Amino acid sequence: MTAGQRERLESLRRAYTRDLPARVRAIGEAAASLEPGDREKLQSLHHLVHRLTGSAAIYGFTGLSRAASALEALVYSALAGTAGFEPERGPSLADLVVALKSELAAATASSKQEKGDP
Amino acid sequence: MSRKPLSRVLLVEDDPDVQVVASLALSEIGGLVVEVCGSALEALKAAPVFQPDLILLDVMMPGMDGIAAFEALKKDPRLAATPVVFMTARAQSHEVARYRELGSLGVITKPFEPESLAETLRGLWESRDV
Repeated sequence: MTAGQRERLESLRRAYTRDLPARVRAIGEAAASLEPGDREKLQSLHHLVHRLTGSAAIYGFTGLSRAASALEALVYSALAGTAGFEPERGPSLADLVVALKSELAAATASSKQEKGDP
Repeated sequence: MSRKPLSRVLLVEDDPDVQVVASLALSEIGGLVVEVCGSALEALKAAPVFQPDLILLDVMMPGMDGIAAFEALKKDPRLAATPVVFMTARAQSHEVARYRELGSLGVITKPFEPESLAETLRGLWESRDV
């Protein structure tokens, strides 16, 4: 890979990093607005979380991707009708959203350190 | 007799963040000619015109998913012989086995390495029974 290609990839990563807070915020809002039986909102939440799971890993945010993946699994189970948002075992939907926000904070802090920002 | 090298790839992926990295990986880094489609329906229209050597198809997409798209592609006589490689974040072994049983050339799991994505596709392309 040439230096120019590496810089192009890095530039994409920077742009993605800038947008991350808005993506996680959208997921938090979608989760908070869920109403019982509203399958459309559930599908919309699943779509947002699924995208974050895949893209965060590709851009190197493995912790964030793992947190998104855990949330995605719960939402997927809810869509399939095999679990609710507060399962008897394991974290609830709200817990997983909190974990996602925590991973975002870690990812953002790590990116600032890489750039040498205070 | 040497085989035709892999040249044209149709990338079917709904997420713009993944599209842009995969496209860079395949075209700028990998030297392939790439057309990007954001949905299965778009791909079904574009593929006969673009005539790809290979289709890289995301499994989980809103609307028509990758599996339904694969089945539709295989029903089109113009595309039935075009190899399809699935791309998925859900890479449990039974799912990978299912994608292979459907007749795909292979499965690439997300996250992929941008540096080696094109080489991985070339390896699958070379492994075809022709």
